[in-house]
Amino acid sequence: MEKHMVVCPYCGSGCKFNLLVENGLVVGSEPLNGLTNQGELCLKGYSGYDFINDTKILTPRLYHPMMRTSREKPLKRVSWDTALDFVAEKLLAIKEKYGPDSIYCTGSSRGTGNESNLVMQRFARACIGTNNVDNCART
Amino acid sequence: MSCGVPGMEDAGCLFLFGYNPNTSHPIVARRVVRAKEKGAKIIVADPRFIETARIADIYMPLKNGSNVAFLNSFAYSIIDQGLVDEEFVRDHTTGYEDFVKVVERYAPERTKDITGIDPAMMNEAARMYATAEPSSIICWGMGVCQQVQNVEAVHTCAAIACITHQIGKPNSGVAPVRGQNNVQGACDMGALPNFFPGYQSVTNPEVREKFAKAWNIPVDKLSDHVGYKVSDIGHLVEDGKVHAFVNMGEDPLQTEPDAANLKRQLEGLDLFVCLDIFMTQTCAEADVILPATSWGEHEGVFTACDRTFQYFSAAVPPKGECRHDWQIISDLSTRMGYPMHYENTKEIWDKECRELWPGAYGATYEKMAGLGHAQWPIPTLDHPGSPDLFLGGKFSTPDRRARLIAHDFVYPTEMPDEKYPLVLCSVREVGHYSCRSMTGNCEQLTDLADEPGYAHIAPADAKARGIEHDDLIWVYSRRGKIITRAFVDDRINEGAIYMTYQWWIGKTNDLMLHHVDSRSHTPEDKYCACQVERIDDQMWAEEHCQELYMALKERLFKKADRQYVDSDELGVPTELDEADVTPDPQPATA
Amino acid sequence: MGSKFVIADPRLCVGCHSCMAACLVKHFVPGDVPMARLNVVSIGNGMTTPIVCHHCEDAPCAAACPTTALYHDGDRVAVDISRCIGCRSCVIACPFGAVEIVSRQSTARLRDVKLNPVEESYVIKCDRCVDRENGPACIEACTSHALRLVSDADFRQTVAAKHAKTVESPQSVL
Repeated sequence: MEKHMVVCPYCGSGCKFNLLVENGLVVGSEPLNGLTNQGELCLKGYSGYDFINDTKILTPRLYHPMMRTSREKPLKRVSWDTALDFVAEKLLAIKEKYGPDSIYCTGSSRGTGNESNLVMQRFARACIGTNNVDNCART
Repeated sequence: MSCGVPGMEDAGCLFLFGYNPNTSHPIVARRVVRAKEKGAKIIVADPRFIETARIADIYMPLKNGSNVAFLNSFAYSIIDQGLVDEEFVRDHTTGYEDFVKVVERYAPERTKDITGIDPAMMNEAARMYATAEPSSIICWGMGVCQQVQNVEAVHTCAAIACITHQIGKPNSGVAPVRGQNNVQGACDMGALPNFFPGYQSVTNPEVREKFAKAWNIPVDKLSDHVGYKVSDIGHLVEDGKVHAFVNMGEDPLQTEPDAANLKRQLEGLDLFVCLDIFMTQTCAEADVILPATSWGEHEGVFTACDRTFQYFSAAVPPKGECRHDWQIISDLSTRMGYPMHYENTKEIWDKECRELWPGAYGATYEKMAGLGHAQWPIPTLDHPGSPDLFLGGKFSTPDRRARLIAHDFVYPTEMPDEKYPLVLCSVREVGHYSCRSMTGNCEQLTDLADEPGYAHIAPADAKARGIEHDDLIWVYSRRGKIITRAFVDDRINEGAIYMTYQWWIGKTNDLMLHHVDSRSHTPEDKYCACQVERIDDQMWAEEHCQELYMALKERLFKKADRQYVDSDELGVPTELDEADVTPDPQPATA
Repeated sequence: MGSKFVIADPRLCVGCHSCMAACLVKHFVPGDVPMARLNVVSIGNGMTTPIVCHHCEDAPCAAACPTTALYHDGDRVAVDISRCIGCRSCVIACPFGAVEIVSRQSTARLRDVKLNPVEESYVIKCDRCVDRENGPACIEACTSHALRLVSDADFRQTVAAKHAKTVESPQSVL
């Protein structure tokens, strides 16, 4: 059994615990003596890990890039290259036509981590040239 | 928060105002219990008799939507009883006279019909808060923020802390306890339309100069004006102002008010890109879906509600073709002609956060290793971090003085009327989180609580409508109508119902009013008018509810199954229609 | 020897339901019913506390059970869910409301052939986690240390404390 130290992805308390991993699956959690949680966890900390394993209870995980070129067509699996080139091309065209402020980006106040937000805001500001970047702090 | 979470238990008084720690932060709630054990006074002001009210010294059942009137009266009581720390006000604040001019119109006797609070109780609570030793903390949550007068209430809370000198010393001040695990972090890192990382203003030319230099671009490439706020996205698309939306890890069609209308508005986008881990209701509408790694599959740093940076590691490798969010965005940027390359999250952290935000320079990955942490401001490598802000009454304004601001009370936007006589207030589920894409896929949490959720209703309101506990009911507003279950609850005030916003069938946000305040553009999720009705045929209702749930799941599973449909001729309609990708019927459990 | 059971201090309970989640997790194994054996109940303006089996020495639930699905096992009342017929006698007998009967659909199989789903009833009650290394899962999970295991020794202590108090101020009992 492997143990990996994490910070809880749910509320803002910042509880530390270990994820217990067996054969590539997360099978449990074990509280650590973190600054705020001091060896305690709430029910989400104890039982909120198995979504990582793609349990398909509510909705399935996404594994492959998908896209559609028009709203009438269904989504299709594509390669990363195809998907990212398509987005890049479209964004450049939209920026050209309507200006950088016509593009909106969100960071995430959830499990993505600070680094993803740093990169996203730099992308919005330096690459696109807009301050249209925000997160769901208000909901 | 101007104090740390651990410090809460050493305060002399905790004033919980529109904050229910027991469901939103059980681990913080335990600090409140501990504070009480150590002798702290607890004041709870909430329209619901929340769990913490049980151990409160004073429980103040204020009426829904009366926050600013309440706080003005609270401030009035402090001034009226001579509890102002005049020395602190003179040396560390500005604007006291103007503040008094506003609040002097709010004698508790005059507001008691608006707030529902007896003037004697108001005076007692004000005295308890103002005189507590060694410190008091005002804690608030969404009960303050998701109101039409949210910024106004925050101004007044801060002013109350200042005039009583219950801020600027250890374990004191204001504690807006952040709801989502990294909402503090996303804001710290500049995922805000007005700030670069570290709350450095986008309208400050010197700041722009610094970032342009670090990012290797001419300064005129950086926008000099504040961007739009995401809560306005629907209207922005409708008005033709926004044409493309790159959405990372958020599910606005579940979490934003008036969700059905938002869905219609987002159809007007020219390009809708989602980075996510699950096929959410929002992803289902996207043109391009980019699969990201989940928490547990990537590492990084989160910021807790009290400004504490903590490192988290990856437990399992990425699944399928999933990539880290930062890798996807860097790659996209490079393809758009602005190369961004990082080896790992540490490099991003050092270059984009520590180097560019002086207040976080001391927060190294080394310091955060193991059970380590770093609480900003932490400007140097040997700095211990700062649990408390504004020590010695030094505030983060240019003149280091706190600005005291008060506002007149304004009623909520949509008041109850004959047709919609109840107040609908959106609250939180203890065992589920945010849009529920994560916790809804956790087996045990789902076994504990599942669709369609509950609407908590006062016994008298339930009785008047013939509703019994556990009955399925209709709840409707001017925006929509949904099915949910009644929880007849004697801790709920009459005239209001409370629904958690986590449910996809019992979807509160199909009912909520989309009205944002003018300053922070936060939706007024704590107040709109609604009506509740018993469903006569309960058998039918149970089946209907199940059918809706199954249909929604099936729709999302079908959408997600498209990721297994390879296509060389992208965009050419194939013979493959939806029916071909219907998932197998539920596998029998062993 | 008297029985041991889990008891909650309502003054410490923060109503976070972590105990229920832990209990459910403990019973989250094949052949068991994934449900919490204790229920956090909030009543009026004063009480929030988990309701949990007292493992009564003269347990009325076990006495009422016609199939010995509930039976005495040393210092506790044990459960054998396979013997339950869902008659609810135990639910009526228990003075604490700590016993529940739930119905679940189960799919019987004959080799690879799925038969019609049948409704089966199970008795749901605290088993005091006797098969769990660290004792009751709920106690371990409680974030505010509101739950503990009480035994005869605790009662002797409590009674002794009461005696002391009575001696100190005899008028309090007059």
